[in-house]
Amino acid sequence: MVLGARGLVLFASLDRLATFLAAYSAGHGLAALAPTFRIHVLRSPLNVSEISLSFDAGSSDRMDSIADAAKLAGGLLFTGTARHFVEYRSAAAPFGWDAVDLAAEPAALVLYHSTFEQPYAVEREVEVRRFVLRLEPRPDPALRGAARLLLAEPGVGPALVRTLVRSSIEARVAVLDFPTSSDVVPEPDRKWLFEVPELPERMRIFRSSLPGVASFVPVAPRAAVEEGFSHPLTLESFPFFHAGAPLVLFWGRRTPLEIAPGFSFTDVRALVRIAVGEGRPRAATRASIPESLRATLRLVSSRRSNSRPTAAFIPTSELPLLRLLAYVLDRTTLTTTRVFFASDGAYLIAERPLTSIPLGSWFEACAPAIFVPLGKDLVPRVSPETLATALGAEANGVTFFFPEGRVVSVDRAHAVTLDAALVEGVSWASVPGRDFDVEVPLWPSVRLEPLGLRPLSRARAKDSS
Amino acid sequence: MSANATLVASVVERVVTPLVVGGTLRPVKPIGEARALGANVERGEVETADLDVARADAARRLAPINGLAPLGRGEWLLACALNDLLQVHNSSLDDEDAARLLSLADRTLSHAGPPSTASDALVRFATFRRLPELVRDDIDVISGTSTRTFRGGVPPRRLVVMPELRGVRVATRRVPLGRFADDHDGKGPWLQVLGRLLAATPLVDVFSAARVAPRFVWSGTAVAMVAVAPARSLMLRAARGASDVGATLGALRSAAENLQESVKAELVLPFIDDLATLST
Repeated sequence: MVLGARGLVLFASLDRLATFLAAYSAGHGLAALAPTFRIHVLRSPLNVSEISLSFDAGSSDRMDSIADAAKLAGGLLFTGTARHFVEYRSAAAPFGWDAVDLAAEPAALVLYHSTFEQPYAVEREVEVRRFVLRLEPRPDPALRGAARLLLAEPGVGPALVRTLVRSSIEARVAVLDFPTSSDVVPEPDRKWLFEVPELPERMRIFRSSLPGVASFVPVAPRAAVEEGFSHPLTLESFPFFHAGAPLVLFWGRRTPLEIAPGFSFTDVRALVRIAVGEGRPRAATRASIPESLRATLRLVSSRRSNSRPTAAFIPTSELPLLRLLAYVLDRTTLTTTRVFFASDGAYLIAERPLTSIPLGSWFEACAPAIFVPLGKDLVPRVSPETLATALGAEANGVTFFFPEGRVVSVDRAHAVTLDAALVEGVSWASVPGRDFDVEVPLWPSVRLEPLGLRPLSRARAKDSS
Repeated sequence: MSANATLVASVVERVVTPLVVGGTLRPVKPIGEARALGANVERGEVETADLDVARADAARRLAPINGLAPLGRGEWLLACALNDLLQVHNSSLDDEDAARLLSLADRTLSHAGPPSTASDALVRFATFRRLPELVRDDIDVISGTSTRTFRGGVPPRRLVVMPELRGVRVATRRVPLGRFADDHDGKGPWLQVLGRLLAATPLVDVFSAARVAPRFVWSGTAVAMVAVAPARSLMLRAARGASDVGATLGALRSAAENLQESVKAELVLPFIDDLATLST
């Protein structure tokens, strides 16, 4: 099969070349092929101008696919190496064509076709990238993706930053200077370029109808086309629209804008102006705790399984029993139990459980110096210090919460050991008391529901069948 | 869940828990002696954590305990008997069925027997302490000269719809436990069974000695309790926990008149004297 080192497609005009590139780039990547592209404007001896696109032939597969695209664009495909190119294979000649005699003219390029033989002079070369940039986008209202590049005039840029930040839209911004095209204004032409990875539908005003802001739809890593237009080529296929290349913004009706690499985007949130007020921060003034926040202390049943009755209250009526009991109490209990006598009875506080004194009501410590009835908890479970402050307890105070909603604080300094109390006269002291909330149990009541037919059908005596 | 476990769960949920914690008891369908004996409450298939906390709370009124044994067989049988005893007055039962159910409740009760130890008595007290507080809301539907009473139940809607137009008046009466059987033909037998139920829980019995009905009597169990030192302390504390200790003393003394002289003199009267001493 005849296959030279390079391939060449001959077009009658540049628009045919554009059609060929559009057709081929839509289905094939050009990363390897595009760097080998050479576009030349040719002139025949009859002074007819034609266009050639040459490239590395690579393989017959590549040539075959290029042949298909060339046919669509009305181009003729040739293969050759330097100056002489013969027609690439076709259905009529599956193994290709070869020239019988080489042309003797000193032409820059000679094409050998099955129907003609033509020498050409190269008029000029057209840079491929430049050719692609010259192609005008065509109107296309279809939206592709949500990512946008917004190009804003300098007067609009700061306002756009605030709007994006306020709307919680992730965006980055760069301020770019372009060479001025005006002879009157020497300053460079400044633009604000925003990169918005995902522009919400609610912000569609940015896409086309906001004066001073142009919206571009990214179609390649380094190329974007103005909203409402699409480029005739699949730009993503071309390597010069990938990383490291200049960013190209294709306007719908204007010359593309090229932005040299090297600029950097900044998060728009970093640009929001932070207002610094005058003077020091204003301190909140202290107010009393609102009543709605105050919670009343309550006693609730406890799920603890290790209650230790280390305190007891023995009402005055049971004190004679305590005196009788004293004769059988062991010495440790007598010497380590401290008792405080009040007008309503005696408060006993011990280091060990007071189970040997089965009188009165038992209490257990829920915090140091705070006793609750055995099997109860105090809620809210505030710290002992907070509780003591709230109750106005003295430093030496020991507080007893009673089941009926009374709280009593006794002064530890006035307490004596039980053995001393039993053999000495101890004066009575009154203790302050106050009320607090207790759980009110529900009243048990009976409700009898209808029993239906044969109500005793399952109720039987043991010996009945 | 087996049928027995379902029965246990229902009784615990609808009868025992509201009795201990408070709320509305909704007795289950009549249980009968056979099913009560067939169920095994000790298998632990029923979650009774809340109930156990409330029972321990009740028991701590009499003794400094850290925990209480879970519901046992004795309490289960007492609960079944109580369920059937309450259902005796259900309007769905005719007189014949009511009498039969009362007999079944009594037979169930006989299997429970008295508490064998002071600890057992304390456990029963923890569960049935609020039995004397039990009330029932009876609803009278009065139409002209006739009155129809719905004991502890809600009358059918057809009877109470548009009361003004039909000249119907609905009155609710809160009835205490001792008067549950007041308008019932079998009042006497019912109160006897209730008395036996209270006697099976001696601490509750003495705690509620001042009740109107059934009147307190010194049962053998109660006498045995005051004869043993630890149990006697519990009896004293239970009696002193009554809302009206003076009335309790009166009821205890009055009931003591029916005892043998020796029992009365050696056991019961010293107990009553100690109670009086502690209460003055």
